Amino acid sequence: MTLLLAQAEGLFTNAALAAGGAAAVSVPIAIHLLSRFRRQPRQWAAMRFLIEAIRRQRRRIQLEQLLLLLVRCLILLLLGMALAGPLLGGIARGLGIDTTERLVCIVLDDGLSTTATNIDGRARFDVLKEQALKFMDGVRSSDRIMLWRSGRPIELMYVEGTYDHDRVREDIERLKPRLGRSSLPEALEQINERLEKEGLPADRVVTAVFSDFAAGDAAESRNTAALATLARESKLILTRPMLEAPNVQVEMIAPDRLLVVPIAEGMDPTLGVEVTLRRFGNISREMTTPLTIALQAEDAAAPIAVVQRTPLWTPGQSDVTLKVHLTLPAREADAMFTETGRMFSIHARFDADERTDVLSADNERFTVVELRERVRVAVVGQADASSTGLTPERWLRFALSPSGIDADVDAPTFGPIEVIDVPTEALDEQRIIAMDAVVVLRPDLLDAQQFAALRAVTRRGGVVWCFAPAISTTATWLDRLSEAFALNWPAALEVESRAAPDDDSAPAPNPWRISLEQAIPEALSLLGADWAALVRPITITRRLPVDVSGRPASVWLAMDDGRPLLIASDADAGKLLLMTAAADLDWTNLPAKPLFVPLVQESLRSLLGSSGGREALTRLVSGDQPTLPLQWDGAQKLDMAEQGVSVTLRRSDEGLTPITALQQPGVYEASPYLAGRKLAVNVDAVDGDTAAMDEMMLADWFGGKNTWRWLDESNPQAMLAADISRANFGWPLLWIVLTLVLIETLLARWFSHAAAPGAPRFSLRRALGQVVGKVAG
Amino acid sequence: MPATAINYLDPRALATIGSLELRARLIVEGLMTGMHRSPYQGISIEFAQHRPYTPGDDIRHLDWKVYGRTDKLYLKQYQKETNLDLVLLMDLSGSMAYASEDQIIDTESGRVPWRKYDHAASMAAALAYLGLQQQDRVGLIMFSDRLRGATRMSNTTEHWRGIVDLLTSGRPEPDVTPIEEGTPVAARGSRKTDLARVFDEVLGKVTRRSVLVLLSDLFDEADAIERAFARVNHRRHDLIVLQTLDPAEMEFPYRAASEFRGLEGEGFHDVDPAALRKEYLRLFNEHLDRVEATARRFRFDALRVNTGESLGPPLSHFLARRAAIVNRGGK
Repeated sequence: MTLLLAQAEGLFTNAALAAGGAAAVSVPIAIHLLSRFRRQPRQWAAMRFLIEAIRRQRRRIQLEQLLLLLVRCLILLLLGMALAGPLLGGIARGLGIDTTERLVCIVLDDGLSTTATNIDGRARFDVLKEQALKFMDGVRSSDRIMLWRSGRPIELMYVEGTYDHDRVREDIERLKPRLGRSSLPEALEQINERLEKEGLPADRVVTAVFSDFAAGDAAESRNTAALATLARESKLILTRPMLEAPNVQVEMIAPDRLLVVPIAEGMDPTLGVEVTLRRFGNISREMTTPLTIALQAEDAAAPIAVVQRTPLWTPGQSDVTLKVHLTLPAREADAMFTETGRMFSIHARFDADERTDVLSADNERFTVVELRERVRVAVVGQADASSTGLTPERWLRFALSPSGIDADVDAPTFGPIEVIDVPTEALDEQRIIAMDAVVVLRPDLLDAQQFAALRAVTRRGGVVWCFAPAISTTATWLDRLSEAFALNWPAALEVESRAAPDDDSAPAPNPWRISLEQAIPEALSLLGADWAALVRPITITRRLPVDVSGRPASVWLAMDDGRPLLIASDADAGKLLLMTAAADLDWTNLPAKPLFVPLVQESLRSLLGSSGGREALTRLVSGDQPTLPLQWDGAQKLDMAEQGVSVTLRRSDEGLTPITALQQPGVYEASPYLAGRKLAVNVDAVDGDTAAMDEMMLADWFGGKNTWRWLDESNPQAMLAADISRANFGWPLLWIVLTLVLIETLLARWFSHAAAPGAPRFSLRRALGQVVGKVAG
Repeated sequence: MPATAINYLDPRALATIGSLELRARLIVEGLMTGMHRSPYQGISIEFAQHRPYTPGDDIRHLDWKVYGRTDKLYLKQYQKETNLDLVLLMDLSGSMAYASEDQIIDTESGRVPWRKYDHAASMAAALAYLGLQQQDRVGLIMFSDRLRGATRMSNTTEHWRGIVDLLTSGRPEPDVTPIEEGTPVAARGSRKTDLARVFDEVLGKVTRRSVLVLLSDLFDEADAIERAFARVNHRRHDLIVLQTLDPAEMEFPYRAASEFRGLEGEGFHDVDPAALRKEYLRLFNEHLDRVEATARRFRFDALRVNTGESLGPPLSHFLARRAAIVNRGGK
């Protein structure tokens, strides 16, 4: 019955009036039948003639009566329909003559926010599924259905669409929410592209989006122009955004370094970890969230280090950032910091009840860090026979290994940074491929092959740091560097100088200084507190005027005229740094200033922690399908033993890739064991914003208001039934009714044989008058 | 009084008179008044000679002037034989009991239907009266599907009372019953007119050449009527057909759908009169035309008598026809 009413609602703007018209059809039928039972008896003598007349005219009379009855029924029926506002497409479909295929695109949001629980205790995803199934009741057999899942990764379940509606129902019933972020814009763009290929007219396409429309879904609203066309190319039906619900999440967990090496031998290592909590929804209340942060080895039952904090949320506060230090036990520390490195995971989690937190999947967050005994840095320069000259090589050695200053300057240092001297002429791939970083002080002496060897280092995630050579005046080597690393940097440059003239004929020009307006690069953020004091004394008298503006590189240190002093660029899996001044006092006083050591140390430690894909691998979210760097070569699977999850890896041109997206949040470990390679997958914190998206946001997506309709939640199937041409056929139908009334009058007059004695003669004017009277009445 | 007498040719006036005898007298009186001449003048009688009176002769034909002069009784004798044998054939079938709504007349004693039978019986009585007045031998035969009653042939004035009594006692018996399933067709309509059979029987009884006056609605098969007329013609009788019809039968004025119930056992039929009127009238008039054509073919007089109209025209017609028959010395 509900289905019938729903379908009727698809036919008319007011189905009740149409039903009344249909019911009124029974009136002439009833009168016709009653008249047969209530006829006045009349005795008759000339019966033989009457019987013969009956015999001869029976068929004609029956036909006339039937025709009249039909016309009268039709008048009432059509009148009811006309008043009910018939919809042209609906009528055609109701009559079964509209067999044109429709494409019904169903988008089911199975992203993280749909795992939230509503006030009534039902999961949002279950509500959406139920609405989608009811909506499916409105499809007709000729409809082709496409089903998208908008949680990452977006999945189109039937590539060409399907007519097997039962299968679609079963699939919808079987679906479970995923923990990936909902990518509604991306899914809708895919539909948009698909519709452009299909080329169907807009009235043949229905796009129904079943989403909770949480605010997080719209955080990356993009390509609105494409979405705006979607509303024009199809009938767009949206579920209403679900009510805002409170949610608390671990938004971020970030260790100070992803690669941790001891600062100095003998010091107890600590690991700084920053954790941010965020809450959505009801933020006006005061509350506490007991948080546990733990460093853990997956093969150990107990955490290695644990810190517990209970931040207090003050009314109105929406986020809390905690900085904790995990102190690694000294005894275990020795075993933890190995020469080859070992990876550990850090967990931050809390427990909360459903009243304050409707989404539990984002209550825990993971990251991984690598602990290593030391890093290896090759310093490529000229062999320096002098024991007293402050050559760039020596400045670098001191900066890399400050603890060795008091020792024999020529002695190798085996501190946290192991420095290996590599003569320029001896530089080849084999010697430096195992290095974590290579510092090149005489790039002008390197040939193309040696630059290629440096490129091999960055391919493995290493860092290459080039300094301008101290004795060169023309930097032709920049061509080779740019070519080797496929950089579009400037070609050969002349050295600029602000040095005092030798003959004192003119006053010395002011040297360049490091601009304090330049923001501190993130890698050097630990120097932030002393940054101005460290930078201010630095002067530069010679430089290579490299201009990388508009190119894929970032300027870490800029001079007061805007020219860069230190440039960083991504290079394969590693990093490339270019210092435009030599580590020589004739070029700059930087090596002799306090900034130099921390600059070299922090730059390398930060870059080594984030290079090699480490940083990228800490930002993975559910639904990602990452490409693993070369360090993962040999791995066949990613396992998460605790959850019983195992994802096979496949090799492609880009590297190793899991065959399916990584859905389950947690820490995955390479299998077979590759020096404990791990990666962390988290839920996308952005999608934990359970506040409701407002209509303005939807309008922004879909090119304005009124380009979509809300789903009628009490009667979803009617939406599809009614999703037809809304052209109202009422007035044309009224004209048809008027015509039928005229025809009925004429037929009635004709069939009643108005020439009978006592009856007035037929008059067209009188007949028309009766018609007008009937209509007016 | 003459004007009142003429009114008695109107069925509405006649219906108020209960006695058929009085009714017939008034009809004849009205008829003659309307014609402004004596009924005897209308009869072609040519004086021929006198003859002596013999006992048994009708004293009305005595010549009183001769008796006054000569004190002898002489009878007037006419040039031609003027008395005829007049046989009135009165239809008593169920259909003759019909009276339409317009023929139901309000009287002091209530609403009285003016049936076709009433109209025909009035005419028959009047005709008998007229015939007897002219020395015709008159007889009455009542019939429906067969003979239902008859009088002897006589020219005495007392005989008229017997005719009136028979007409009064005769009642058409309608058979208004639904036809039940399985009823044989032959068994339906037992009260139907069956002229062929009736005329067989009548012609067996009437041996002298006579003038037959048929008072009936003639709702019978046209072929049967034709056969009957042919036999009458063969026996050299003269026939005057006074086809008595109700105006409703000739106009079929009804519009409302009704259940028509046959009077001669035809059963009940739901009919939309407006839809059937045209076809009914076509069939009905076709029948009337055929009856007329058949009568004309045998040189019989056929006259349609409308029960809603005056009796004057048919009776005048009868008198004119009788005169013509007498003038040509019988048929």
